[in-house]
Amino acid sequence: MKKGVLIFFSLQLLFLTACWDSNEIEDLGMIMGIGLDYNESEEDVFSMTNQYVVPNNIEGTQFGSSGGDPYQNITLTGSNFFQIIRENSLETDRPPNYTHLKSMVLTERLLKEEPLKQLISFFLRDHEFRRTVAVFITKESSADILAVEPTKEMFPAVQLKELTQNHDRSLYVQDTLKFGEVSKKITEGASFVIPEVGINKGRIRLLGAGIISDKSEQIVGWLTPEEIAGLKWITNEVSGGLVAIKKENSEADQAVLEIMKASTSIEPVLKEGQLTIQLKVKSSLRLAEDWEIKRDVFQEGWEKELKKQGEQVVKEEMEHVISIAQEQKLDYLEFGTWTSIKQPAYWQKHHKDWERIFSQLPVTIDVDFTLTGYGTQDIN
Amino acid sequence: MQTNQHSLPIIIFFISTIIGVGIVTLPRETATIVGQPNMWISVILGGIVAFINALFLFMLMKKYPLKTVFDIAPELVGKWIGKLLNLIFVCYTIAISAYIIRTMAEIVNYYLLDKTPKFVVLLVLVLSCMYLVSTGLSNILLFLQLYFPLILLTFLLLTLLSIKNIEPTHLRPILYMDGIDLLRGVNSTFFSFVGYELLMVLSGQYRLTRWKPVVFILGISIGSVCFIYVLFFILNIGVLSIEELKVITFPTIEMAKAIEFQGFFFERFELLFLFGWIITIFTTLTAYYYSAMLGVCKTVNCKKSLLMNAIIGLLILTLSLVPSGITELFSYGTYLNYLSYASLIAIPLLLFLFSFRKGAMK
Repeated sequence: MKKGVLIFFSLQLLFLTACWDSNEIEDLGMIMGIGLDYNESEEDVFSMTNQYVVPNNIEGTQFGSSGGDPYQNITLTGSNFFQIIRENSLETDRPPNYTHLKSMVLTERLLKEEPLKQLISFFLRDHEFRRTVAVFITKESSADILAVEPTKEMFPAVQLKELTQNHDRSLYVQDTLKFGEVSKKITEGASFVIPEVGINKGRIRLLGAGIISDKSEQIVGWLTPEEIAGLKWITNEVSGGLVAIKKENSEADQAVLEIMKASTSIEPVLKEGQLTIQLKVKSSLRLAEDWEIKRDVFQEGWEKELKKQGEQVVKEEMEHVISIAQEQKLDYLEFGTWTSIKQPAYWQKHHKDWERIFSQLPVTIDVDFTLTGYGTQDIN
Repeated sequence: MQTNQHSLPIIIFFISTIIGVGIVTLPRETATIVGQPNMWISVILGGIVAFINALFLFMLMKKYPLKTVFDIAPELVGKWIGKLLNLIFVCYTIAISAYIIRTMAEIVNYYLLDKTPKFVVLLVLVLSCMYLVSTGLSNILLFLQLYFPLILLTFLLLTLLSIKNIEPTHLRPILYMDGIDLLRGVNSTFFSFVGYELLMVLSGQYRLTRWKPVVFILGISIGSVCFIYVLFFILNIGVLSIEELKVITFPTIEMAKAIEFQGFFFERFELLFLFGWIITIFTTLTAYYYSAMLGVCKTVNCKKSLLMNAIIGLLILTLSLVPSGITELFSYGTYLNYLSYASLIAIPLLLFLFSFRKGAMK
């Protein structure tokens, strides 16, 4: 009996030899951000920047010292990305690990040369890449973007991702475009926009967006921040920001309205075989900044003029973006998606011809503002 | 409440057996066939078909209380043909065990342990299952009850964390549907409900003769599995969209990967989900393993011995290592479906017809 117990326990040792795949966390080269770029050279057309965490330089940790950056960027070139990643091993002792990747920067040059689908196929195939990685596009080189000294965060890649978190503060900021969303858009065969980043006075800054065409899956145009605002109004993504009524547009001095609530409904209406898109914007706003002395907010009806002017501003922004999209024949306004939902029978018949239909689609815009208040004090 | 005391372990047995690989791969399979946002209707239809089939199996077993399908086959169709039918059923249970554990090994290999050989992963699983099975059915039922809450908790967590990622536009239009495609989808969703056929094995231990408790047990088991599947379908479609589902190998895990925490290290929820999911694979394996062993013992009239146990384990293990890659593995799944047809519909139907002849002769 005793012998049996002894054998049993000895056999247990076989199963207690720890994990086959054990990887010490200290030995991992955690990557926070990657930047992909295109080279003009003949052979190694791609370059890839990996932003490594350097744990020893993180202040406050056990071995942390205040000297040096807590990150290290390594840029290497090659003809495919997997090769570049493996080449990292020639320069760093820690194998790159992408499970905590935060952001990914693509460049204009790259997307002019290569279609996005093939570019990201490797990153979708590999299990380490998360679907939550934020994707950006830039006109500069991606290595430069990742090298910008972060101001509030520890890593440039984290700062980049956090920037888009402000999408509820400004109309010019798009919601984070996640890697998973990019994949979805590509499999759906839809055009879409990628948030653009740039460098402004040594700081990183969100700019407009780059338009990816559904046909070539390459970059075909750009949107300015103002156009982003129009796009957000159309696609029902507005959750905050402001509407500025300029001096030129009104008889009174300028005024700024803060958006408290906003929603847009996209309604494809089919009448006698003709499809029309009806956009209805509903928003409640508050007077935030007022330069007009004559306005008396205690008088009933003070908001009427502001309401009309504000509605006009938004309507023009939206019309502008729609005209751009229709001219390019690229439906990044999600009209197709809504047609397929609300008019499935029509969509079934005409979706092959959508590009042509979209470019001539009549759109009616109806903006309805409610001004709910003027703040805590009216000094005018 | 005599029925309730008996029925809870059996319900848990069925639910644990039915839920397995399907929860991870079914959304892709169905998306490629149906390809519309309301494909979860196919799941409900598949569940109904499974329920009807299960009732039919019960109608057969009801005539022979405290006997398994392995006992009645030789009695009804003659000794040798009966043994042949038993063998087909045993082959089915072994094949399905091998298939599910191989799929699990592929997933573990992708997401958890990429250096550990698949053989080792499978060996550990089969060995522990062997141990559990050798202790008998009552212990198996206890084990299933022990881990059942954990499985539910994992599913619940995944659901709660994924809800905010759902984009309602992916799920629409709901009412516009292509009925024929939905019906074609049933062909694949139905197979994700297999597991209830072990009723024909459980009937050897439990006196399942009255309609009411059995309909209750089957209804609750298949109904709750159906609910979980529909829930996961809606989550999968809502988070990933139909077009994306068609190209993702293991959609539910990718869905778990889309979960994001605002933090540094607590962001890999898919690993946590995998731990819970592996248990569901283990429970499914246990149920089929036990049935296979019982079948072999009844057919060749031997005692349930450790040797027999080891042989079955070895068979499952070897068979699971046959496919060379994941594409080949999935193509074997199609052959497995034919075996399922044979064991779920053809064999019981044959026995059912013969049971009338026998009765007439008496």
